[in-house]
Amino acid sequence: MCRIVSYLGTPVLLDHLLYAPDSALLNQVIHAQMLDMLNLAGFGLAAWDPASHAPTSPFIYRTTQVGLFDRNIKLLANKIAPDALIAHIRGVPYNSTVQINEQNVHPFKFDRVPLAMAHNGDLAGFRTMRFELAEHVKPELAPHIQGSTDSEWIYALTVSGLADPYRINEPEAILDAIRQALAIIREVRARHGISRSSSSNLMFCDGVNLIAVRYTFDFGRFEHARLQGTMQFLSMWYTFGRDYGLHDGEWKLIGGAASADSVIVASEPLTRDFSTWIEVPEYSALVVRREGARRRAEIHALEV
Amino acid sequence: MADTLARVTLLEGLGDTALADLRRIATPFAVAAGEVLFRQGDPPSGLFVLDRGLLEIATRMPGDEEARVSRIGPGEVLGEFALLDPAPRSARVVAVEASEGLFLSARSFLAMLEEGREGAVAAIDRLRTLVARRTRATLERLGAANVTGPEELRHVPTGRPGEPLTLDFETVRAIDRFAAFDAAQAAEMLAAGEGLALERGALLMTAGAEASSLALVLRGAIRAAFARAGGLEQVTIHGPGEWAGLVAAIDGGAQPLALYAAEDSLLFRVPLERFSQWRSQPGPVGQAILNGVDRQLVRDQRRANRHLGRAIALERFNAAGREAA
Repeated sequence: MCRIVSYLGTPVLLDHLLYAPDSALLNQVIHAQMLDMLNLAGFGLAAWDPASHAPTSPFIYRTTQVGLFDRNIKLLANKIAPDALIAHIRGVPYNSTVQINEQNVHPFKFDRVPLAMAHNGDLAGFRTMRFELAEHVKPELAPHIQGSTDSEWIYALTVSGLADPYRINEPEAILDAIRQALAIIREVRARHGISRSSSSNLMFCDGVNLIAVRYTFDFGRFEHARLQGTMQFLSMWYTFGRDYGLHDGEWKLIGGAASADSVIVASEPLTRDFSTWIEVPEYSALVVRREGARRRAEIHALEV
Repeated sequence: MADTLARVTLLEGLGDTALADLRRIATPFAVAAGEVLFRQGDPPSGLFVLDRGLLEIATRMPGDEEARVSRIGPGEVLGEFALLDPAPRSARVVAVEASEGLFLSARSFLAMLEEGREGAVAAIDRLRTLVARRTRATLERLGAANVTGPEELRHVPTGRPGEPLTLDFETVRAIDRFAAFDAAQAAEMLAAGEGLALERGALLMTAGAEASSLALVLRGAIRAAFARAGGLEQVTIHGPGEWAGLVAAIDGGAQPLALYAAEDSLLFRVPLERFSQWRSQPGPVGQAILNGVDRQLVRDQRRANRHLGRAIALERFNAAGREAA
């Protein structure tokens, strides 16, 4: 299980999403509000900064360090002001079977493919499923898989479902590819008799569109009582407005719905007071697309 | 002021002993016009009974806007979630006019409930009905609002009807709330209903049907949804430990939503008459069940409110975008 934050809007200093609010992403390394575990297995981000060289290519950063202790990202966070972002801290079971390396740190983004993705959850029985998943990954994309996580395979399946993964796609095309990837996984699970609850909350961004997926295979089906993460549907939250920052002693977006131009989506709110945040419904995707200087947000049903 | 409780609509018809129980824990409260009674996120201290004045309930929305939820006048109660669920306050309450009345602290009330005092047992059941009716009213507003986009609608599934099956104790004890049940308690609970296995897509209850039972989800997920032209609008998902069909079972009205299996599911179905016995004479097994029911009633109300708030906020956000374009 992991934590994710994503943003699409007017440029905002990275520090304001990663560090400043009381429950900012990097504070969730040890004090997540809605996940009862530590997220120690690495930190990564893809940030699209309009003031940078080649602004359509994101700045990518990945480390296996505990994010909270990483001085480099702390210093960079006060220099980079992206208008689109996915950032992720990785949480894994506390045992030595887990592979901690840079190739397993999210977000995943293949070379020349604009779409990046981070995952919160895990696929039960992935080790036995992956050989059957391979046939659904485009041959030219398969060699890009470098890590050993289920997450990277979900990403590979999704971008394989895009007719042209090397361009900025319309949200509908990305949604179709997501549905297709989830359907393949559901089918392979059924073939292998895997029915344990498996969360697949996914965040996609290409710098133009943002798609947040809240989805769990076989939600509520668990083998043992009190199995971590299966009794509650993993959540996904969003808020919108303009001028994200510290207003009246509180980190928030202001200006009301009518003047909103920015959206934050996260696996949990960035502040302890989450009265201005809304949940993405279960089995659904939130799609945020650009419409000129504005954004449009829609909820799409995911029936897979 | 001493007769405030007797005048409250919620407690109408309650016997003298029950009212006397409640009077024992009631303390006066007063707020000046403009003063905040409690804020969103505050700990749930207790229930307020308004005798004089006018209070306004408001909640915050994305973009830091505030939406007025409702106004509360003399003879009405507010803050009732505090007696049903320990979660923080979900709205801000401010006095529009100088207001006063009685306050029932959650701590004292729940202690009385644990002792099985008539006043607490009767009052909390009235609160259940009040919350269920408010959820129904929100769902009716949602039904009428029709602000959901077509892309959010789902197909009407056509799964096969459920199969009855025998449940064992461990299946019940896998739910946190019932983990401490001994064999006799688990047997008492299981004797009250029957097991039911549903395949993904199967229909559990139809919207508009008269309530004759409700079902506890033991494994899997039940989708509660509106039927719209063009498909189903999902309002919530009930996972393990939650009841499907609760609002109708509590307020006695028709099922407000259609209920389908979103995944292969295992349920424990209880006839309404048996459930009503738990409400009037709980006992240890009934009380454990009702504690879960009370929290879910609050959660269902919050989810219905959020669904409405989300739909309205998105509609405004996108409408403003269309005007600007």
